[in-house]
Amino acid sequence: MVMDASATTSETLPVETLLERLATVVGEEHVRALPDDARYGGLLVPNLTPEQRPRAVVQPASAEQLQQLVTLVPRLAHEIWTTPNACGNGARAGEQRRPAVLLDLSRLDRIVEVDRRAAVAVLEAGVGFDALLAHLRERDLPLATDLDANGARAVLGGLLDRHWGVGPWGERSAWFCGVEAVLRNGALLRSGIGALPGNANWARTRYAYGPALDGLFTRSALGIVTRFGLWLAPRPRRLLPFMLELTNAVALGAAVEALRPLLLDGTLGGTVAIAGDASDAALLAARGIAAPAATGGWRLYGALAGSTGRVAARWDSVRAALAALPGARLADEATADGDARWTARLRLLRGETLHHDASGRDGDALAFTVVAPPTALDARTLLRILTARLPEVDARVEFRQGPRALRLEVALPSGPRNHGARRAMALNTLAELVKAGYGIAFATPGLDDAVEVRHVDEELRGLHASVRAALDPYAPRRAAPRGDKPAPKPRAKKT
Amino acid sequence: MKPSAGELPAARVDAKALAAALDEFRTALGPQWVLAGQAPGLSVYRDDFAPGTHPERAPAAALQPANLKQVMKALDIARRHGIPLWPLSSGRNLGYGGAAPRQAGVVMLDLHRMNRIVEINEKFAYAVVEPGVSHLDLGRELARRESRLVPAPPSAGWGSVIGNLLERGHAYTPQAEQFDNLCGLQVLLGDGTLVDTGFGAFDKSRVARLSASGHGPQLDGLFAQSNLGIVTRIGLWLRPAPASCRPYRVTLASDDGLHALVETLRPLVQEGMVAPGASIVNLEKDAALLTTRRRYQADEGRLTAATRARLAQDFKLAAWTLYGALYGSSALVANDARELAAALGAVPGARLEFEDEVGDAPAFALRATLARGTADMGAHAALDWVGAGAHLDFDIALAQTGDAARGAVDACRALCDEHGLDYLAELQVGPRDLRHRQSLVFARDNARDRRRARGLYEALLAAAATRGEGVLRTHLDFMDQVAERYAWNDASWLRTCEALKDALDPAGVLAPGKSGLWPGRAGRKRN
Repeated sequence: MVMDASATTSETLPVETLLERLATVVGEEHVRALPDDARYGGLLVPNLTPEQRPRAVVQPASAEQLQQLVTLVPRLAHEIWTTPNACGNGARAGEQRRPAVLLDLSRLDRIVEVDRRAAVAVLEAGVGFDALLAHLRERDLPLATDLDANGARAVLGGLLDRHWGVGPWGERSAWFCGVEAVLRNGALLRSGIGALPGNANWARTRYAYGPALDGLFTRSALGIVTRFGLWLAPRPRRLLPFMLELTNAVALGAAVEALRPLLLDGTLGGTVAIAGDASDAALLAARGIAAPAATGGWRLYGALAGSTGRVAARWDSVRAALAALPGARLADEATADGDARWTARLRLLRGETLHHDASGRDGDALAFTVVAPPTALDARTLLRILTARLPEVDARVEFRQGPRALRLEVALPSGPRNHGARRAMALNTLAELVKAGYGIAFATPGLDDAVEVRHVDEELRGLHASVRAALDPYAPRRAAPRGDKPAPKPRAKKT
Repeated sequence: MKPSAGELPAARVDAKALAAALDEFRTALGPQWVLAGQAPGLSVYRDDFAPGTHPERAPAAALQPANLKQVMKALDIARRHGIPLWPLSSGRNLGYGGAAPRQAGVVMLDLHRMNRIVEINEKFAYAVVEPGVSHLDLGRELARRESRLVPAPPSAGWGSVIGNLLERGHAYTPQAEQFDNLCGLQVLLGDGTLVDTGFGAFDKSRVARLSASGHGPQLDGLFAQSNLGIVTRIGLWLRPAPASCRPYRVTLASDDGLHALVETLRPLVQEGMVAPGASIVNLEKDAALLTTRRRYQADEGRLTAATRARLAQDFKLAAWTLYGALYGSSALVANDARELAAALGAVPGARLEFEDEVGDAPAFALRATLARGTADMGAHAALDWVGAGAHLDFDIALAQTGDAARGAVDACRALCDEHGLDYLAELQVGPRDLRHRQSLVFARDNARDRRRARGLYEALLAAAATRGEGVLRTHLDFMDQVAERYAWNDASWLRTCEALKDALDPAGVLAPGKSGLWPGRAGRKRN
């Protein structure tokens, strides 16, 4: 992202006037100048200077208010930035062409519906994981879902970021079903079956009629999701968490190879996490717990869920594959005593969040997620590149392994003094990872635009731009209508 | 409301422009691959199963390109001359319009010659295929390679893998939701841009077929049941063959147990024991695969109790039969067999039988074949139920509850009785819903039968609208009608799709009217 501090010019509306105009929609108590703390600035783009940060934050209470705001804010010559609940995930920053207003959807926090029998929920954008859990507990609903360690974060944020959790329900996009979104032209849209007036099943049927639009709103600013359908799981009759200690990268690679067929054929549903010392330590630090001494090794966390008989039958296969790995030690719940890392992960795998931090402080890190084939060689290659490109940096590194992909999540601490250097370091690392054939699934806003420009080919970027131009009347106009282009020659086959 | 399809005028194509375009098409593709005028091959692009009495929608010509380069040239020519194209993978979607276009006068873009299986990857369990590859082709190639991978075919395997997936067809294995098996597509937009979605857009990506989403928004859904681009290649996730696959059936002697069966299945589906792909099929639908109606009942009208009893006895059928299979290790399958039997004890009259217990039951054999992922054409036999038969398919989504299932069954059956056609139906089990799929089988050489089918279909659509049920796919004739029902909040979904249509196909030449999406240049009128 090109940061242009000069975007705030003398022609910009005085902040008092801006606040007054925004207050006409939501009331003055829900509009304020962006507070001078890390919260809102940090969760969008790390280490913004005061000039670069949004000038105001607005908290609409309804989709109707949001519809009014998306048409008002551009008329006030401001960009729209959004966050589901300002707790660190799902935020989207607009271009830096003009000063910005941040729309914080925290007040859209209703749990609209939980259908116990169907195991589905309809949530508003600002609902956090802890709020959903409390709702289920208070009503004694025997349902479960994948969670973020930080229970303050928005359920929607994880879906929009396409993050993976850990355990039987870890691949979150598989649990997303139907959205309601405000488009930049002010229209309120429901996708899928939700577009059928009077139909109550829009969180039950993923694909309806005609083109499916849900995916448009993930990892994009094409619309602002206000509510969405979420598939839940029945609370498992038996949950069997397990940990595999791996002494070094060689053992890690062997585990990746051993897990691949189990994840691919569904014996082990969902995803597993493979955490390094810094990643585990960060998880504990958030709870105020000191981490055990670093081992230099890795710990693999996963769980099986289902009936007692089904879990036992699948565990036989998993245990047979993992127990014999050299350099690995398999642990279960009974062996958790004394290991704070395993104890914390157990809570998460059982469906409990670990802490409630609404500060959005993780936004101070530059984060990215790399997608690689799930092989031992690729696990080692990823680590080699990180070691070479991020020396002397206390990066938090954690793998997620799913049926066909190994994802590496990297968080690089950065502060005002070293942000530029760290950003350059991260971009160089990403370039080398892409050169090695890997994909970049996620990057914090400070990196994301650069990934798009540097690594996504011209044709797909053109498609992104065309879709945006169709849905957003304030999108930058293209130099020439695409329809006037001559047909390009076929590109070299990539497959 | 737009006119119904039978009244749709032919596409407005300037005769001189068409003649000039045909000359260029012949140069680009070779004259033998451009069918026009009285070319005998042109007659395949029609809907032999069309209900009602409206005239055939004869295309002006058909193009049969052999490769991507020719497709791009064809699109370029069509854009320059303003010729609407109707892309087609193989045209086997017979219950929904087959190989016909929506309007007469368009030019078919038939991709069946693009039939390469580009890649089969055993390690990561995927294939890369072109539009002309059928499920039978893919199954044969996997068998030839002695692959350990299993595909997910629909009931009739002759159709295109890509066509079936993009139309959101249903399979009978755990990968039943075919669209979820898509991993990256290559698509030619209406403006001539060739796009690889997902990580296919990263240079030399090694993960293009391993991660369904790439960087930025997930766009693949735009190209399902749509006319926003021509899909020329896809990545398709397959499934490793399980160590054990044990097909089963659960029979019900009457409608009485249906409610309890659906209620019992729901938690088993949510826990993963009953995999999506299981399907609850009624006696008429099973019987249609195995015999003819006339052999059992001479007169029209609902099958009598005596007829149904004879069919059940002769072919080992039941009023309703759940077909499914257990997959996994031997230990897991053995466990699931015990748990399934225990759970079904709550369903009055239900009888669970595994493959080795069923004996000689041809309907079961067909379903077991599909559950194993083997493409087959056995389902095509249903057309013989009424002699020279045709079928028109009606698909709606239901809540996964006994009430919803019984409500739809009772209502649809009553309408069948009213219109004098048999009720052939199945309830396909989805992850959180049921899909009620009904085949309106009628004699295609009988004008009265065709009118009946049309009348019944219109009545089913109206009844679904009254009950608030969503139609998931439909025949060419009803695409506008169904699209306009998705009208929540001033038709914001349809308006959004139309805006995308104009942006991605600015010349408006790709499949005008597909799924009810018309380009602005076709004179779309929407308040």
